[in-house]
Amino acid sequence: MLDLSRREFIASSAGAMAAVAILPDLAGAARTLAGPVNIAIVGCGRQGRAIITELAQLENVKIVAVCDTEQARADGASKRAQNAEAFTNINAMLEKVKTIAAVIVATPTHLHKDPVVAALAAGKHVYCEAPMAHTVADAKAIAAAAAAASKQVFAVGFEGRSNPVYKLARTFFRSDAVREVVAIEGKQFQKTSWRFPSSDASRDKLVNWRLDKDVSLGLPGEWGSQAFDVAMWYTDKVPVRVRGYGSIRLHSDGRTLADTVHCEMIFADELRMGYDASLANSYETRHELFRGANAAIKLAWTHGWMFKEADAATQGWEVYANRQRFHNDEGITLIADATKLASQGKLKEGVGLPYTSLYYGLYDFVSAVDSGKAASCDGAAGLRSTVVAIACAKATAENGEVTINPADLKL
Amino acid sequence: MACRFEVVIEATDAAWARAAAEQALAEVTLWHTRLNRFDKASDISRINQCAQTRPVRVDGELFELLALCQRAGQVTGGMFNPLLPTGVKDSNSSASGACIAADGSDQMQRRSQTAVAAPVVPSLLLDAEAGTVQFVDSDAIGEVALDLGGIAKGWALDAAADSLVQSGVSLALLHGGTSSVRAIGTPPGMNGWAIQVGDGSAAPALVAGRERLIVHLADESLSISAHYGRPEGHVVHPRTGLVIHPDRHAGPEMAVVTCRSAAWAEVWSTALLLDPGLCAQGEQNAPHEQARFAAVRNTSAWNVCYGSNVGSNPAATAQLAATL
Repeated sequence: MLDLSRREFIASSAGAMAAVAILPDLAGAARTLAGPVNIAIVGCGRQGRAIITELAQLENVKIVAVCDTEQARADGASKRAQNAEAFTNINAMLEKVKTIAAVIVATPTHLHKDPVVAALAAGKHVYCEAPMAHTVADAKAIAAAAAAASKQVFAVGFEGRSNPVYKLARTFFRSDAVREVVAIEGKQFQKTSWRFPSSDASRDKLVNWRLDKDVSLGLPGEWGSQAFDVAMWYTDKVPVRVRGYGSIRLHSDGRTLADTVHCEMIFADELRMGYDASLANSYETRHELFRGANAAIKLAWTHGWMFKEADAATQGWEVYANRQRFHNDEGITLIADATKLASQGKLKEGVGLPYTSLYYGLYDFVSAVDSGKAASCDGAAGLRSTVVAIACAKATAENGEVTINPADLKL
Repeated sequence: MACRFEVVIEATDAAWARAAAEQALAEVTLWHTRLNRFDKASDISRINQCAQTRPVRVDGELFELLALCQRAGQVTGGMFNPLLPTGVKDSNSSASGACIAADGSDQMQRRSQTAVAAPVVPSLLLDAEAGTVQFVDSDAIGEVALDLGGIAKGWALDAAADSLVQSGVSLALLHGGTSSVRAIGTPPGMNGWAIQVGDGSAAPALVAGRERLIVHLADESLSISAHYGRPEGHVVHPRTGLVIHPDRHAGPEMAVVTCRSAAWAEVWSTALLLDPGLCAQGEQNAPHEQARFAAVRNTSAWNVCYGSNVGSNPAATAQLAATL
């Protein structure tokens, strides 16, 4: 029998719930898959570059091809990916590199559909960055193509679903620890123009697609959709209507999309999620907050905390949990893999994730390809969250309210 | 990187200039995140955790940086080595820290428990085919860790400068913590961005009797390495793994180097601080990234190792000005 002190035993028990929720080993060693997975990346901008960096941390994954309509970016990605073959046309890539098993699509949101559908039609597994598309029609076309390719893995990059801290917190959320959820908040702030400089004026519109109201979902879509998806995943609910308000508070540089927004998702039972985002200030960066009658859970991608109410039942282990002070409140740190760490006396080392949220999303996808199991966010779930994001973007552009059409949520 | 980065851009379109600056500084943030050994999610932490026992795979960009580190170790005769005994961190931050003269000899004050004056210098084993890195020859001195320090700052500045150039910027100046500077273009009517090197004293005015060094940068970088900065010192001798005390060093108190790349400027300024005799070796061994101008200061006088405002390197002009 293990020689554990009472304190260690209780600390270990505290992590029991965590242990069942966590799939990745958080010890820091490289993830190893059973067999080699050959991957192609379509879209070699900033997100494509980040994907290459994260994939390098996965053993048995090889980037065999990269594709971008701009030759220079494809060449740059090739260099970063150990000289993967570079293409400017996805069909040429799929035709030539027969060893590709999976395709990761990181093009601008409004350019997701064609490469996703082409890759699925070619029999490849596909990871599509979130949100899936900028229109309901495109999102449904992608989801339909994924459904038709039932033997292939299709994953959408709503990263909360594969994030160990979020998965752990969800087990608390759905237990008696939080009880009735009374309000949900999501926030994301970063002082940035969201503009990309281009040395070629003719390419400015293409490069700055996020500021183009004809193709961009703006802050509600490009940032907010991740938070909306977390809320819908936690509650298993889809809002019936959304409201949005937006204005340009700082970046009066000719843009027409709001740089500061407030959105509201309203569920059938009148539960509401408020979402605020701004490009004018960075304080508090990005987080979600679930308020319940027993406790609140705050999530900030690599970290999570639970704030218990004074009248909530004591479960014993909280006394020994790691805590963090927030002004007048004290949060219990949600630590992934807590059982293992507690048994080693290393509970504090578990605070914060050792990898980025993107890493866990990619790991989830590649693991699904490797094992044949479904990814954490499939086409149906991705469609629902994308449709809500599109509605929020529309409401924000109109400073009004949009009713979610239930037909849009289904294929 | 524990310092403030700033960028000045000449442009007529303020929105465009802001966007260019944001992208450049995003590169700094990116590399800070990736190279920060104190962040457990960083690439360097991951390498430090595993590379002692097995090869660790990295992406092409980080591999390029590690290859640069390896090359830097070779051309400086080991005077630049980012692979250090982990005991250095403890000794540097504790009252019983290790202090040693720059020549590693008789002025040693205290030894760290884990860092000993070992003749074996740990190094990086890079496999270009597999894209992996591993620590080798580290057994003799115990656990080692990558601490890229100044070269990380230079690498980030280079990435930021590349971003600016790709954005179409033709005239700009960037710096990180004022000790690493990279210039793009030449201001009209000048022979470079004029950079005055401070003397390290707390007083903003230069001390009378001490020479003032002004370096002109045109499409190149400048790095300053000095022993001061922390009371207990911060420069680690790569051959001993011990921290050099700012009051007990044997060599120069400051080294200034200009190179095309900021990363190489960091390499040479660090190495020359420890061994000024490397100037000639640098010219021989690193023809593409050689220091175009280098100077070291002993007490109050600057000694220009090589490079001047005449000859084959007009872009790397330097002026040794009189005192105030």
